[in-house]
Formats: sequence, structure tokens, C-alpha cells
Amino acid sequence: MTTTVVALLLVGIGSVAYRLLPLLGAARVPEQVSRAAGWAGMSVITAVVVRGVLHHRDDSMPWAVPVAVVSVAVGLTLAVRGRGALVVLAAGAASYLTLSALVGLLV
Amino acid sequence: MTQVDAATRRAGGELAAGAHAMTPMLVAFAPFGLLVGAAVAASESPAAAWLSTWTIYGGAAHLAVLDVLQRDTGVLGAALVGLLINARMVAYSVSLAPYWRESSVGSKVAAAAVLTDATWALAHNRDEASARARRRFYFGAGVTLWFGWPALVTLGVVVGRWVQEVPVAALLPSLTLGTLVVPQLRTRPGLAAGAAAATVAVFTVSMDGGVALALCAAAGATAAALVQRRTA
Repeated sequence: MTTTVVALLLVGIGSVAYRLLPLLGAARVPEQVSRAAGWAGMSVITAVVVRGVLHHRDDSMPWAVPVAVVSVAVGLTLAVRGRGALVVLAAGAASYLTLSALVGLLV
Repeated sequence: MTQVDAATRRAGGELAAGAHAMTPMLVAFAPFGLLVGAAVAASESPAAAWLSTWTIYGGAAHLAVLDVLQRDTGVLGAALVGLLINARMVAYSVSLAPYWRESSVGSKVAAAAVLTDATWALAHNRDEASARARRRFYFGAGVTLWFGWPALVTLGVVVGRWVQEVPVAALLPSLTLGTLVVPQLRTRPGLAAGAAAATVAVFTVSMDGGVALALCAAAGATAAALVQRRTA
């Protein structure tokens, strides 16, 4: 129990410091560094999306990752065309359910 | 209408716009929040794990720390995993810095408290706004998530287990975060950053999350800087 509390405390304190210290020193952060950090932040979110899809697991069917890739691609294509988050989610989820049903019929 | 009334209405409008933009994100993050809640309930110290929702304030890091602790890896191993995954917050905070230069310390502390992926990305995508308007929008979005996310985790403590049996639920956070990235891909540096990060993410998929994300961040930022320099 102590291990859990100490580990959570360490991560919590570190996470607060990550967020707070650059903002407290905001006056000293050069514009170029701030712009590069923006690209880095966007890259991290892109990577989280890619990793989330490639790590997808579904024990109820084979080819879970390809199905996930196609479904997310369908959703994000709608996002590129300017659709809102809820439409993107609904399309992605519907694609996944449809494709997984098709795969279930074929295999 | 006086000038003060108009300014108040504009401030309220930006706050409401931020809250409005965050609402669909909250719906999309619901399964993920419930999953984190299930992990909190299964933790050795549920109270400490639940209270960490506000300090760690990142579902991936929170889930990873609780998962590592379940496998008896020890304090340092678990803390290192969580800190590596949440290291992206430094990039978010640094990129927000120009908009908080003139703000009070209290405002900066409040901004830091509500900073996470979705809040940062929504504010970052709002390019046309002034610094003050962007800060209000940011707080509207951030405060909405700051109350909504812990509510989802708390609900997950009670009913989170069922979400693990619905595989499509695990895809929703990827779709949601993807919608936040798409507007940035419309610029050439943004497209370069996204392509580089996605490529590195594919090649580092078997690596530990924190290290892989740091590599993707470095690749994306470098690619964007190179393209920007070439087009300037």
C-alpha cells in the first residue's frame, strides 16, 4: 500500500511540475522554443493515436488491428472534411462494428 | 450596452465556446475514463489512486502507473513510467507560455492545473484568437474537463469493468485525439510533423510508451522546423 501511495505521489508531483514550471517562466520562453514545443505536442498526440490503434486488441476476432486502422481512417477522413467530433466517433465506431461483423462472417 | 457589458459578454462567450468545444471530447473520453476508474478500484490503495486523478491528470499515465504497480515493479519503476508518459506536458506548457506572459501567477497556476492533451490541442487550434480570448477559451475547455474527467473516473470505480468487454470503446480516445490533430495538418509544417511522428510511432510501437513518445515528439518538431525553414 505504501508503495502505491509513494509512486502515485511521485508521478503526481512530477506531472504538476511539468505543467507549472514552463508557465511560471513564461516570460523567458523564446518564441521559437514555444513554436517547436507546439509541433512536439502535436506530434505526441499523433503518436498516441497511432500507438492506440496499433495496440488495439479484440479477442473476439482475428485482424483486430487492420479493422481498427480502417475504422479510424474512416473517422478521420470525415474529420478532414470538417465534421465534428461526435460524427467522427459515430462513423469510426460504426465502421468497426460493421467490419468486425464482416470478418466474423468470413473467417 | 456599455463597453464593460460588451467586454463581459465577450469574455463569457469565449468561456462558453471553450466549454462547448470540450463537451463532445468528454463524451468520447467516457469509456477511457471508466477504464481508468476500474483500474483505480482494483488498486491496492483506491483512495490514493482516485485522488491522483487531479495531480497526474492524464489517463494514459494514470492507467500505466496502476498497471505497473499491479505487477510489483516497485516505486521507482512505476513512477518512471508515469513520468515518462506525462513528459509531453512540458511541451504543451512551453507552447502555451507566450499567451500567459502578461498573466498573474494565480492564472498561470490555474492554467497548469487544467492542462492536458485535449485542453491544449483545442486552445492550440484556435489560432485566430487574441491571447486574452485564447486564455478564456482555454479555461472554458479546461474547467469543463477538470470537472468532467474525475466524474468519469469516479463513475468508472463503480461500473468501469463492463467497458473492458466492449473492444470498440478502446478506439474512441484515438478517434477523439485524431480530430484534434487534423486541423494542424492543413499547414505544411504541421503535415510534416504529423507524418514524421506517425512514421516513428509505427517503428517504435513495441517500445515503452514514454521513450517512444519522446522520439516521436523530437522527429515531429524537427520535421516541422525543417519544412518551415525551407518555406520561409
